[in-house]
Amino acid sequence: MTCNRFCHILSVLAILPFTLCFTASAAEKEPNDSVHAAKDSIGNSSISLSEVVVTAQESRKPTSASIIDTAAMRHLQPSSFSDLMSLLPGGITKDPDMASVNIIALRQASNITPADDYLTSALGTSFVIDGVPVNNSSQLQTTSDTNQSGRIPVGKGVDMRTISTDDIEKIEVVRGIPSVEYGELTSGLVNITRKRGISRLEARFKADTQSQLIYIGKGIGMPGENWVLNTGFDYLNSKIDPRNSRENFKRISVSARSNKRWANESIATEWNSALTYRGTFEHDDNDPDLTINNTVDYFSTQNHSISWNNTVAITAMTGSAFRSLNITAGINYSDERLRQKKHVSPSRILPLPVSMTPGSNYVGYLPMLYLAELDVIGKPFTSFAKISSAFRFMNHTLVDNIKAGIEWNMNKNYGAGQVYDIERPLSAGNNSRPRAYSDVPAMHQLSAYVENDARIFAGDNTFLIVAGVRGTSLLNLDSRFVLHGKVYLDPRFNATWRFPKVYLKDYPVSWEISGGCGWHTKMPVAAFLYPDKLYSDFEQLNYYHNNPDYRTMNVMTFVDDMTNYNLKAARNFKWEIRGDISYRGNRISVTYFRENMNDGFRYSGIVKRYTYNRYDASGFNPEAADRAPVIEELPYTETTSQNVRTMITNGSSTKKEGIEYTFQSRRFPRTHTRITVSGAYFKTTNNNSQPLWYKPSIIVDNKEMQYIGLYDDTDGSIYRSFNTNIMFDTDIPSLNLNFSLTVENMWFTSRQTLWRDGIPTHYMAPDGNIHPYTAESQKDPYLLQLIRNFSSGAFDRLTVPAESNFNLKATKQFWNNRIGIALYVNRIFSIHPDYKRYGVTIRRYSSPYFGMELNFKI
Amino acid sequence: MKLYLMKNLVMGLALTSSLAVITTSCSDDDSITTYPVVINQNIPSELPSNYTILSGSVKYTELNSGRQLEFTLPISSDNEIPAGTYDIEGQMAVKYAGSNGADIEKSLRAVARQVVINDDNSNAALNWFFFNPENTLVFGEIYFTGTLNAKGTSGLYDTYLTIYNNTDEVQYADGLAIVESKFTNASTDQILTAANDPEANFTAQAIYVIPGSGNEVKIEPGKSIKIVDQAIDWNQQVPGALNHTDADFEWYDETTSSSVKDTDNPSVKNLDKWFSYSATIWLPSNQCNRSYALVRFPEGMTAEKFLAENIGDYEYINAATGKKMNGTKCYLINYDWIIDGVNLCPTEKWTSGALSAACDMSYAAISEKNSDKNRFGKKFTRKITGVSADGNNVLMDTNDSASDFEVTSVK
Repeated sequence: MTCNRFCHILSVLAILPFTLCFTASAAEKEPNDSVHAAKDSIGNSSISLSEVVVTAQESRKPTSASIIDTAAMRHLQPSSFSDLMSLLPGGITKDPDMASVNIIALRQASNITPADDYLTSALGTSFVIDGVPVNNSSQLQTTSDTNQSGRIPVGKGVDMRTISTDDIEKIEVVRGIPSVEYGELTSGLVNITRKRGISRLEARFKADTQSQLIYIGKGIGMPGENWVLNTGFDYLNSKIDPRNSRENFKRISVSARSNKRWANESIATEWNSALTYRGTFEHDDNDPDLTINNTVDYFSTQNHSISWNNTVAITAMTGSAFRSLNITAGINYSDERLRQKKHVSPSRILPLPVSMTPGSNYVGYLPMLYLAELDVIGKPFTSFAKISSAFRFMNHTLVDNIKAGIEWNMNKNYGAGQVYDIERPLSAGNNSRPRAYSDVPAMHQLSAYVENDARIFAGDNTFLIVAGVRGTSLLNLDSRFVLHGKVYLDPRFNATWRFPKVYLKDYPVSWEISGGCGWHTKMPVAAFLYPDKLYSDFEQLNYYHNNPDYRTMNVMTFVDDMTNYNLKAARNFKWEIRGDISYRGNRISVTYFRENMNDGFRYSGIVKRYTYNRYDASGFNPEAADRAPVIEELPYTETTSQNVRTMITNGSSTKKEGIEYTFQSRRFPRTHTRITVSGAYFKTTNNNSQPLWYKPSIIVDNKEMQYIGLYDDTDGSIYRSFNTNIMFDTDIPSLNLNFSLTVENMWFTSRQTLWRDGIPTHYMAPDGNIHPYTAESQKDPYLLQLIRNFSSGAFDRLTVPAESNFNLKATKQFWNNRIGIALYVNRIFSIHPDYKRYGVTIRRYSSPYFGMELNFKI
Repeated sequence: MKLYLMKNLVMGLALTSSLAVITTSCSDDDSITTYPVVINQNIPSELPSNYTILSGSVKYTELNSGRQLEFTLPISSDNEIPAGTYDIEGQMAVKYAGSNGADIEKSLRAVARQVVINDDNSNAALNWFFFNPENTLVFGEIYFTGTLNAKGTSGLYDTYLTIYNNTDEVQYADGLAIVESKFTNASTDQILTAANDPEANFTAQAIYVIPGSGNEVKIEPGKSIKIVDQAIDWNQQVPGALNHTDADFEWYDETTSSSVKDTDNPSVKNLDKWFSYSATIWLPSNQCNRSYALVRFPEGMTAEKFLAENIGDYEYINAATGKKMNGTKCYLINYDWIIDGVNLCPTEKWTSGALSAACDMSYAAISEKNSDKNRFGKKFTRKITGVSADGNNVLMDTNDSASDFEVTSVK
């Protein structure tokens, strides 16, 4: 293993010099005149404005954040926002996956496959577009078809597939502790600023292995002064498998954004108004001509979303204490439709309970073949309003900015919900019932914040101190909710100490240390607060007589309200410390962080007891009575079944720890090449934070075992990953050529299941009483079944050794930058040696992914 | 059918590698390198050492080429075979002096799978077992694939099996258990727990018992009883499916953990469910890749006692990941209790039997390919070997399912 890793590193190192030679020789002919060192207002040496940066840059703010601008996006050639994630420290390039929801994973080990129990990090990453948060709290779309559950975004946060990148000017991904101005987040903030200002007509045509993309946009100067209208249109057509035209994802984005500005000597007023439409369309069906008996299996989603946001910003032009007043208001309405049509053919006779009310019911049977149709209609509506203001106080040692604001938003789904014939359900053995989403109460959220941002000059030292607090509360809640009337306070603090400059060979070395800590809160979404009712049917009489006239079946229907009134918000505590050194346009930044969230959302087992009667029809003679038996005339025994049902709880713990690092060299004058090294070591621990009920699914002696264990051990895993991406990018302005080679090294990923003994602490006996689980219990043949056995090997750390991929990207402009062409090949070359695990050889495969595009600026 | 205490006996020629330097290198390139036939034979401890072989042979079948070579026992030093991977089957008749001095004759068989012969030291271990053609109740038919459903995609659960009285005397099936193996016969996992080795015990994941006090479930000679999943007239549901309203028993699974999934025909008795790994309904392997056994528990065995004493949790190495894992939800069945067993597996997937070689030295295949859509509507039927003195059909039961069963259409 060690030898393998060593050989791997050697092979990567062996290839790098060639890369360097290649980039160097390609650029050698070019004169060196385009790189300048400039000094910004705070004295750091930095790159000149003409300089192109094609990677994410570390922010200069006190908290750790990555800045991605249009140059980086142009170089990356993304199809959706998901593609940009490879630019963050620890990020790696992934092929587009347009067949499922793309969730964000900040500061998370790269080998974690999204599991329902640990989605709070994704849910708790807030996307803010031009000052308005993307809010999908009232989204409730669902289907009982497990084959399609990956396409359901509810409770997973923002689906990055749906965000196009072409209208974006700048993205700030705050990985650390965001300003208290931003709430509804636990893990991070994605702050998107869209393009603004007059521009030529831009067009982009992109094709890659899976998809085609068209974008057309222009910034139009409107009549009168200081009025610009930016428009953009974007269309993506993505096939999940290029050979299959029947499964695809399409996206249309259209936006018109007006920016009008008035100014006099004392005050500048800016009014931004943006109208945005976004449509996403998923389609997945079979070809009935190719199936046996022409059976149908059809799935589609059509989501139309329209939003209108307005911001009025009044900014003081004088040196008064009042700096600005911002008023933002927005509304968003979506029409979401999920449609499924499927031939269902049960392989056995299945009883069909359909009662909507509790009690005893006679039920029929499902037919052996039927066409099930499901429509899920969601109409989430969101409105948002925010007023914020900023003040500044300053003297010769202090600049003090104070920001304060108040924010309100409302979410309500007006959709009809799941609409289907309950007697022809999509899945045989369905145990849910249709529900109108409009029955779910509106959610209102009110928050307020105040933040002090001070810059203190003490000799040659500068201190930046940002401290603030944000309070959030959910309104319009039933008083039974613990959240009712509860205010969550999120104090957050960030600070930077910029040390006096040291001169090395006549050039200054700037260095600083930053640190921060803070609480972050994410409220539960509507799907968590207002879950579907659970319908359980227990058979009381099962009498499938040979004579159809004598057949009968009676069930006792129980309807459980699965609302967890004790549900709280998820809270994440983060702290981080960062060192940053700049010298002659080279910069290195290293961050150590820890995050601890103990109350992430998950579905956990709770025990429900059901008592019903089992009727004995053995004494009934149907021939004599010439009819089926009815329960009233039969002897019965009362039976109790205790079952583990799932309910949303705050039972997930996610701990994140790691080191993120970025090194960016200046562009070497002779070769025009810049080296960027970025990467991260991440350790993520996901486990339950509350004891879990578990009932072994074992049938013993004709009956389902009625003992249930309570396990206070950890059900979870530790994930680790460590990577280094090395990018050589060469920018030759005189040739209008920019190309890069990136080596993405994933040094290792590992997963280790947390140790557990599998012995319950308590058990619930069939009578519903809870007893401690003792050594004596382990001798009982039934209680013994509660012990969950785990082999010693189950807790081994499973490591996947190093893998390196080489990605090539190039852009070239013609005719005064009027026409551009660009291409990329990911994994043009890969090193991924086979490795052994427990003596079994595991082979890895990789195939290139490529695309190219044409750009016009007319 | 007993768990033998084997004693190692190197039989026949004591060929050592030093003696066996034969045609390892040849001047003629066309000739095939061959190696001496070396067999380490374990004979059952019950067999006295003074036995003589009346007749016997060992058949080598090379798995890749299908080439077969047969050698007469005892093996002579001239016997050689080419390199290859072999399945080996042996049969012999022996004679020995009983305790009263009279001669006793016994049949023995042996089987070894995937033996690699590639050098002079290659040898095969053969565990001989008594092959007892005497049998009473056996599986007559096994239909687990089901008739094609209305959509044409999968099988219905109009599945059934029959238990046939292979004697000329009345037999009673009361208390007889139908048992499904935990392991599939396509598994490449390595079982680490000795007790779960198929040669030591049969590891079961579903145990359904025919109710009765001892003389309630009578099976006449040459007759059988039918046990079904759902005792309904399937033909009324899907044309062409079977009518099971005449079944003797159905296995009925009351489900309380989720929605109701089974029907209960009041005119057909239910099997007693001692144990099932499934929280809902027991569905026998539709792929036909598990093993099934008929079990006669010892006198006085109850469900509670059995479950307390025979827990079969085990450790194994997952072949795909190489990871050490735990197998749970299973129980051990002593081979002394098994009266009939059959390994089922599609040919291309067969790796090794979940039953001991003594119980079933081969397997019956529903199809060559795994998940073959054409398997639906097909069943295993035991071949008829002859007619008894009373005129009843005698079904073949040589503990060799490949030759005992044939696949026929259910209609």
